[in-house]
Amino acid sequence: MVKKDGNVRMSLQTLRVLEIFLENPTGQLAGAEVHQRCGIESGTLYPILLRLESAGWFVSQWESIDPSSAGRPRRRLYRLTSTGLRRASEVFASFNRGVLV
Amino acid sequence: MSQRIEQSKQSLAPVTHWLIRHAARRAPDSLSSRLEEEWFADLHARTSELSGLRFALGCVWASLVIVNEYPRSRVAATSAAARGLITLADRNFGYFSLRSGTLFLIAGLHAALFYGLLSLAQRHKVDIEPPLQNFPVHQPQPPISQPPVSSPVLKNPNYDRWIDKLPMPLVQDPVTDFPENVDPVPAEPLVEPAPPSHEVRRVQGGPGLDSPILTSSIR
Repeated sequence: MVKKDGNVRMSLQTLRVLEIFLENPTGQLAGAEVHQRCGIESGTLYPILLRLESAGWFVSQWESIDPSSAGRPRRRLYRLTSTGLRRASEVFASFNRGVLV
Repeated sequence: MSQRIEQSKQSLAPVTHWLIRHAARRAPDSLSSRLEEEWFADLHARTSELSGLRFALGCVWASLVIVNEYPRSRVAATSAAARGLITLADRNFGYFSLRSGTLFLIAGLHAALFYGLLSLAQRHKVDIEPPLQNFPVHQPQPPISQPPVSSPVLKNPNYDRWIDKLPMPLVQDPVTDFPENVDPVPAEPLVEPAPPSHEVRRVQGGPGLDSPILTSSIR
């Protein structure tokens, strides 16, 4: 759930998703790739992705491929924003300090 | 066996697609088409049909969560059935969230159920008898008169005539059936005890004067 001040309720699954994106902050990942990396099921994963996107931590766009030539449908790719990168870094830094932001 | 498994796997694909379309239609209108395309694209990455079915079931759950989290003003259902589901899922209980409201609702239902059971049990309460108390009997009941018991009347109780006809021989009683012709045992003549060889002089209340105790103490 997205709070009014842009904070996101931090659950263990949300932290795992953020951790996947922080491994390559400039990279773009689809939901299926996030599932393959952290094992979070779709019922939990997509609400988290939409929650983070609504909070401005993520932006998403369609994959720029030709489905007929690629042989598969285009995917929705998520990427960390600068705000998301800063906030996610703060969250993980707060864990090191023992304080949750 | 393997053909059946393959057939069942192939039959899962329509169910999976229907679930994803159904879940996408439940989502808010602004996200519906996007989520449907996104979920079908991610479904394509699934290797097995069972994994795809699990993915589709997860999408159904995800749509419920997304509808609950999105503001009601942004929700526009595409059908009447979906509108009803969305309205139910997006209902806000004032100061409580949907989860808290559901918790209070379930707790209230349990409380009402217990209250009903208790009131039903009180209505059918069994009257317990008071403890035993001593009180005088004002009008004791008269003793019930029993009819007199008649004594047995034995007519001609002649049992001796049957004794000779008994099959078993009579056992002699060693006490009563003592034989009469028994030779008496000769009794020994009474012999008076011989008088002591020495004179015994006894003093009443003590040993005699010739007692060795007295003679040793005097010496």
